[in-house]
Amino acid sequence: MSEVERFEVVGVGDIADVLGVLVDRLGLRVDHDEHGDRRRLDSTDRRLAAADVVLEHRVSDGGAADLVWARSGRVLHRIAGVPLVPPSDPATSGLPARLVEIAGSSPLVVADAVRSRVISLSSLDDEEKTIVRVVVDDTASESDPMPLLIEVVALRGYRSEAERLTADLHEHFALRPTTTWSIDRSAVRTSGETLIGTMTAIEGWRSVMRRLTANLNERFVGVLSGRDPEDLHAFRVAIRRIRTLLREGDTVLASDERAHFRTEFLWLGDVTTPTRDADVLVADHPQFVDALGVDHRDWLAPLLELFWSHRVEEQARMADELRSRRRIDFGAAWAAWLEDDARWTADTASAAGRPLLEVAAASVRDAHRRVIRTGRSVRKSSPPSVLHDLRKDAKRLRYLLESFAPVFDADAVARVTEPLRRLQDELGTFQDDAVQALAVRQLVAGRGDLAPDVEIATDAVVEHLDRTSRRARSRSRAAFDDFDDRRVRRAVERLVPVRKGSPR
Amino acid sequence: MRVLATYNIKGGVGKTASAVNLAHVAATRGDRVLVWDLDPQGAATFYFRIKPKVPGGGKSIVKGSAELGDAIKATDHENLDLVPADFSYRHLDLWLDDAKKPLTRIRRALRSVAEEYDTVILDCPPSISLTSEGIFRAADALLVPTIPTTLSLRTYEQLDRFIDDNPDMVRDLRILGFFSIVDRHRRLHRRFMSEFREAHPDLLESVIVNSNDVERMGVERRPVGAFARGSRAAKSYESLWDEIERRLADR
Repeated sequence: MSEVERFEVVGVGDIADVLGVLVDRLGLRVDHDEHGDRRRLDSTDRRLAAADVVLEHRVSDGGAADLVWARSGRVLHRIAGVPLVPPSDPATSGLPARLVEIAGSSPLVVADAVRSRVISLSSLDDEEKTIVRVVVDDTASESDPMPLLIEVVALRGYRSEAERLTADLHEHFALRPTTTWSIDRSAVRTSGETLIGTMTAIEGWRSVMRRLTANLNERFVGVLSGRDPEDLHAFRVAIRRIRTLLREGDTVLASDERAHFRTEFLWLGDVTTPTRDADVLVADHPQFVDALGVDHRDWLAPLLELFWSHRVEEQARMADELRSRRRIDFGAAWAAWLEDDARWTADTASAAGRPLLEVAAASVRDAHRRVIRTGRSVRKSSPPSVLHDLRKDAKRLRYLLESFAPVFDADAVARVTEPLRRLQDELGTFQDDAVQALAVRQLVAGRGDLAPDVEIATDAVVEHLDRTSRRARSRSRAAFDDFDDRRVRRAVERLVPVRKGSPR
Repeated sequence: MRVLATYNIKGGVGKTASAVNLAHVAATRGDRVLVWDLDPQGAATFYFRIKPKVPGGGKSIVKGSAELGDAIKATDHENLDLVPADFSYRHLDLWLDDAKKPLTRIRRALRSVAEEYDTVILDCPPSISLTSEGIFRAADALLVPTIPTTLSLRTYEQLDRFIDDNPDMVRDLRILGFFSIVDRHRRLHRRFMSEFREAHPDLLESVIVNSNDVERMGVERRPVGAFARGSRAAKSYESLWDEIERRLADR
């Protein structure tokens, strides 16, 4: 198999200059020069990305359609004439069996898309045999001009020839090594930068939900493995953000799909909650030790073991659910819906065709009003559920602000977000610590084999959690008062000029 | 990794053309393919425009003092690599004769690249010798191109007898014979094919017809599928490969 070195060409904007050197000075032969669209395909659970495999469907402007399969940046295989229109079932798509094994049974969908000019060149020996391949990649990105990419592909058995050619390239160009496959490079640069206020609301909603779906997919393998709790945390945040967009998209999205996917994402979130709670218990263990005093560290050791075994059980349960037919079908349906252009038209719902800025700002104003209304209803005697509702309202407002931040006034967003974050922190501590205290009680309740020391330590931990929870509740009042402030209200209105009779 | 060998005791029956073209078909279907040109004439090496030279000589690979992987060269075709021949392979029998456990030498050399390739095709010299026996031991199947002529059919039967007489040497080796360089306009070819199929019902159905495109490989120095895609010859090799895959899967 071949080895690839990849470089960004620094300070050369014109591809003709690069080609001039490659062909005229270095004697390379141009094999292909194609403009076209490139779409990276992956299963809905990102199995290919997890296996470091890139599957790219390239359609040149001349109509040629190729499927390119690469691993670790090396092209393993190119299948010509594949008019693959995702989502496609790997088993029936004509893919090589080895690739089908990796992709599994879930449909292939478009993960990223870019437009490129790709020029393939060869360095030949005196038998006219290709000994080194060079690929020049000029990938367009509206938001950010990207440097040209040069790949030097050392064919097996010709490494020294490739090294010589690379040295020649360094003499002619300033090259910056990069390891990123070009389509990924573009996706990284464009993610989150594609929102503009004048686009239609449905385009904006779709763009944000696609990005959030990419976040979900990126984390999925990590969530299944359970190695890094950050994966699950980020996964759950992406779910909640999508749920917020679905909830707030009542005037933008088609009602049937919206209702269906709200139910499914709620289920997906619920599936992950016990594992996340268990993660937090394990992560907070040092805090319990601090609260109890280092001298009593040993008393807590059995408790930590209990937390761990509980986490392992919950992780296994969650992984089963995430591999379930329901999750697979839901993931496939979601990806298919997101990629089906016919479902994302301006006449889908009443405000779908209106400018994103207008509709998003109206959603933020509504969400802000809900936070104020709920917050003002909280009394000292209010049950925890009221504060929980306030927390959920605050999260929704935060997610809306962050999702559509590129189209809003940045200062106004910061002015709202800052006190909102403090309020969320206090409400979060209140609720999380209360939930943890309950979880610890329940975990220990079923265990009759714990030493008295451990029981004492457990009681101390629960008391500590109750105490921190109570304190957070009392601080949340002040945090809300800071948020329920004239300056914040003005900032919400400054996100976009408000006129009488604006939508919603 | 499965190991196939294009083999016939007789020369000029289309062994190398079959090795090169079948390897190309397998590679375009997604297999990672290695061709090992064991014939000192180096025709497969020539077809791939690769210089017939093995670093350290072929002897070092067969003796085990060098890795097969270090001799591999990429061809101009994706997924398709080659171990070039060099003229010293004419001494292959002598090297094997000197070596301990000569019959396992080729198999052992291949073991080091087993993870890198799905299919290996050995392009063998025409003979029946110690080299052939090493190939029989290394291969899962022999692909035996046979021209429908008296002498060619006779050598096929010699091979058949040899295999029958040496069950310990060949172990699970499968013999997949097929007709090659067939001229359907010639009545004698048609007659021989018909009679021979009756005697050997295991012969593959696919037939490689005599074709200008196969002859052009020497000028183009590429597999037929690379310069005459969709031609009758290219399709013949595709059909043949499909049938070989089916037969191997039936095992």
